[in-house]
Amino acid sequence: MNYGSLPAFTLRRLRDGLVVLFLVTLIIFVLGHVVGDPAEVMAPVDASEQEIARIRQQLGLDRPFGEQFVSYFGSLVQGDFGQSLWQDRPALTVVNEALPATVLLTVVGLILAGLGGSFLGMLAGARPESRLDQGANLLSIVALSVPNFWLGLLLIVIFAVELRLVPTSGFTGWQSLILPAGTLGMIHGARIFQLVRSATFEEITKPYALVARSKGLPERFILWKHILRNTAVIMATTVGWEYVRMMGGAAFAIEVVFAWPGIGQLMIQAASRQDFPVLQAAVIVAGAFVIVTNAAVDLFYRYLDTRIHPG
Amino acid sequence: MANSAAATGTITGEHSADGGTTARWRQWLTSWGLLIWVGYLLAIGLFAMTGSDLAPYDPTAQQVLARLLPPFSASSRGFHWLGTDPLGRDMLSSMIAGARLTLFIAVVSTFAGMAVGVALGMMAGYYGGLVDRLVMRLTELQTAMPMFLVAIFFLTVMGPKVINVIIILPALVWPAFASLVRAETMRLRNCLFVEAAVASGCTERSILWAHILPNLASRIAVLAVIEVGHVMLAEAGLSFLGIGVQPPQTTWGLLIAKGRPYLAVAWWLAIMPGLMLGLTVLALNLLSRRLATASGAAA
Amino acid sequence: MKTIHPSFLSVVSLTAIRYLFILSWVAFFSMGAAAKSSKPIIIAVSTEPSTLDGQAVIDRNSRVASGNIFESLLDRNARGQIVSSLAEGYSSINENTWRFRLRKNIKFHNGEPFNGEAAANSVNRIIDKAFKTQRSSYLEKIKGAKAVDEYTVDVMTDGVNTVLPVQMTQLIMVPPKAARDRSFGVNPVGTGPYKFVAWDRGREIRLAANESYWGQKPSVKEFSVRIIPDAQTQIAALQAGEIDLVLDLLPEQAKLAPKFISVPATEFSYIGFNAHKKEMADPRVRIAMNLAVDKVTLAKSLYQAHGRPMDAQHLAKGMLGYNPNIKPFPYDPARAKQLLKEAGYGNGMDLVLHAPIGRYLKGEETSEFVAAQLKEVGIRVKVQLHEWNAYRKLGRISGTEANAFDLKYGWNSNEWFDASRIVSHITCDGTSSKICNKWVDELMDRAIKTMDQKARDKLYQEVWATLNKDPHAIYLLQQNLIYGLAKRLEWQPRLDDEVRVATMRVATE
Repeated sequence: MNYGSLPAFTLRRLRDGLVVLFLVTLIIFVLGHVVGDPAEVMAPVDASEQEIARIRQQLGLDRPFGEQFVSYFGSLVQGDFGQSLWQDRPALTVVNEALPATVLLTVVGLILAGLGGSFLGMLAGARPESRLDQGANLLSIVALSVPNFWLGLLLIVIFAVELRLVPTSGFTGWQSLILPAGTLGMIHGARIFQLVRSATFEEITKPYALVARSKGLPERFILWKHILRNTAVIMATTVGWEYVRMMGGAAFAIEVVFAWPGIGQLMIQAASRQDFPVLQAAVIVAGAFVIVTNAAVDLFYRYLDTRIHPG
Repeated sequence: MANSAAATGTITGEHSADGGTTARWRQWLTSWGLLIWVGYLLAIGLFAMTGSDLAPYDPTAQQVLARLLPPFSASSRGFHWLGTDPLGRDMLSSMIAGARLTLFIAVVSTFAGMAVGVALGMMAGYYGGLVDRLVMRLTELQTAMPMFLVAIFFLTVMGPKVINVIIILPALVWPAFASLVRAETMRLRNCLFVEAAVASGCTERSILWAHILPNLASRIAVLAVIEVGHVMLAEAGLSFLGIGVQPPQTTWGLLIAKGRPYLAVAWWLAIMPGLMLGLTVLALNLLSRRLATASGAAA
Repeated sequence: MKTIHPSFLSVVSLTAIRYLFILSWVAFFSMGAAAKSSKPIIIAVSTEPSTLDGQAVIDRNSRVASGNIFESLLDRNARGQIVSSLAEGYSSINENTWRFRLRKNIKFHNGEPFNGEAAANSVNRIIDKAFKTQRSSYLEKIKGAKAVDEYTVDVMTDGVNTVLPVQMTQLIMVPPKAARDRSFGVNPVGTGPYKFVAWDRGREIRLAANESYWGQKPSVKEFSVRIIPDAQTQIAALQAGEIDLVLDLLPEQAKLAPKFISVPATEFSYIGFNAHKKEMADPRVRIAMNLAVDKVTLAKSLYQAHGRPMDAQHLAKGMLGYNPNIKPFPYDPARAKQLLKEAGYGNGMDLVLHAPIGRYLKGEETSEFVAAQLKEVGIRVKVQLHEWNAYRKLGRISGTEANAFDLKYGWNSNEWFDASRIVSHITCDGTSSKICNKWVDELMDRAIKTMDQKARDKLYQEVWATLNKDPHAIYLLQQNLIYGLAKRLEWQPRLDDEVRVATMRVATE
């Protein structure tokens, strides 16, 4: 999408991001307040119809839709996501407590994915149709075909239950980070691998690379210096996209499998307890992460693009 | 924007007069590896259509004294290839029975998304202008949205029912179809109205209809095959998390969830259904890649 | 052509990183070793309590903490008998009043004195409708309390209430001033052997021994209640030596623990009938269903012998009202089919069995097991699972309504060791009852008014004899509670499910 000059692009992209965030909160609001009935959920089990009606009035649910949304959105902007039904604390506080664990997991997973995927991708792309290339490629397709939570379970069975090398689950020190981050690293690294591989191959067939080879310079020199520079853009943006994918839901199934105390696990616990304020807060916060990262990657890509192709 | 149909497998291309179509299809058909995958998919499809009829045992037949048997065990009822569950039911039969709903949800959701995406893409490509911009906007917004999270919220509010799963899953796939069809439709339109526009890659009308339209259909098919796999994984994720399909209905994702508490003592309960799911999606991925190269990647 | 000369700076930093890495490993392991012997006892729970106000909640996860901070006027000993606690003695002075003599010179953890006023205040606080305690079903017929003098308090009942002493074993004493504070739920104060120290939200609740405790000082000086929602993680942590106690293990997981103890609990699993429904109006049908389920196999296979068929009554030996002449219904599908035919259901019937998700150990599996067995005798049962709140709502729909349940799987707990506990399930207008037997009603009514415990015992025995011919449920198992212990923990669990850390010891190596 051509947005024009960089400053104009930046503004428009940020605006788009805000629009999406707004839409997400609108959808969440519609689903939670209009379709679902918060009064009935919050009322004790044996409440009578009158009690439920009274709670509805207390929460202001009998006001017109527009008015409700405005006040809802207003509180969101001020950081008030309501009270958790289950813990009787501000929902945002509950979500913020769970956030660091998720950030730790996804960042470490992303580093593993980025390093592993890029490294293998470049090696494979530089030696197309070799055994390494074919094997790694097949492995990447397999990694992207299996459910990520299943892969996590498999790793638990092999490394934690049978070999007893690491704990099976929970956040109990750095060893417990190995399997969950490793699972994320494998799956998201697979996609990074594929894109870096094809980008590297493209570079290898370009005139300058062929020329450099024919000049007899050591291959590794060409590989690491020029190709790296040219594929760096692909690597960076793909890593960005994978982070978007992680925070968009992929990391959360892993959190549940490994009982990792992050936003994903919080979301599922809130869902099973019908704690809508916390669920809303978690979805909006995670969504914000996704939208911000998305916009950041777009901007970064565009910035690099103008650097490489000025004007 | 990230494209779901990522880099294709083979880097080296092939060129010949008719696009090498005949030679490629022949090669494709006789490749042994592929036959195995196609055979596997046909088997899964057969299981889906016949339900538990082809299963070795009745998946609901309990035999509590033969509970939690590991794979390759025998009980008084017979041989259990993949072991038994906590109530003594045969795992292989449960998995075969689970194929039906898993495939049903995946195929129906993908078709729904495909229908919406193709329709919107065609409108955008053909009418252009305001319609095009609107559809593009919609596609962008949809892609930028954390759809899986919204799906979690949606299912919690509306209730974890199969019908709700089928309603929300198409939202994950329609943008890919819309983009594809839009691009192709635009090119088609250009060719029709600008007959001499050789730059767009068109020659005579007859070749136009022979190339573009079949290409479009086959590209949609390739994308559909991949997306069925993605939707299957998404449904498995939702069911595993407990907000998708609910018992007593079964899908493979739900079977994995049911087996999870026993992971340390009976790993096959969770691992086997996931294996079947993974193999199915893998087969779909490999098939779509071969289809892509067989029908000609570039045009 | 450039060759890379490692600069001085990079060498230094690389080496530094390497050594830091090694150092941190060493520190990590040495810390672990040193801390092990003086580490507090850690008990895992799967759900975080919503509050630590002992009067407000009843669920086990909350009681693991609050049960050690608070105490009641009376208590039970390890064998389940009522003994004195904060009250030295009691007697009923008239039909509606019981008088309790309080122990002297006891202080709450914050210094407030425990006296008549505190006791009366505690009673009045919990029965206040505005307080909305989850324990309301345990407080029926308590009208109020007033302090007679500094160490005497009267508790008034609504008519004759012979189970008041039982109720007082669970009525927690709170300090009047501190309990008025809104933050009492996050800053609990009691008289018990442990004091509240800190609540690390989402992680753990820390408690320390009360040095000025009036009773025997506890051996374990510190303990924490750690929140680990996932059962696998709990076991893993137990195996790794990170925690000391896990509650409610799956039978298959028992052997994974370093030590495990399996105790028969006061929990009775059952399938409740809706006897108001046409199909189940005839007692023969309900007896047939009892005969159709093989409870022995259920206990041996699904529960791996951590449970036994209950004697067709929600009581075990030693409880008041237990009828020793009643045995579990035998497994006799042939007779079941015969009875069904006699009742006119030779072609069977179609019913729905409702069960909650994730609430009772193997509840879903047991439901499916029972459904399969009932199918063998022609009763086609469909199992429907519900989220807990939805399930509770369903249970409250009156039995005569069209959308009331047919069959319901549940567990009934009887920490009162007394048959009166089940009154709401078997009387005509009991809130959870779906059966109406006039004679049972008559007997229950008489029993609650009888002060003579022996006479009461006989009346309840007759209730169960009556229900044996007109069953209100398929009587399944008396379930066991399986505890997983670390090697260093020495503890014998009680017969009720209270986890009293004061009775725990750490084995010295």
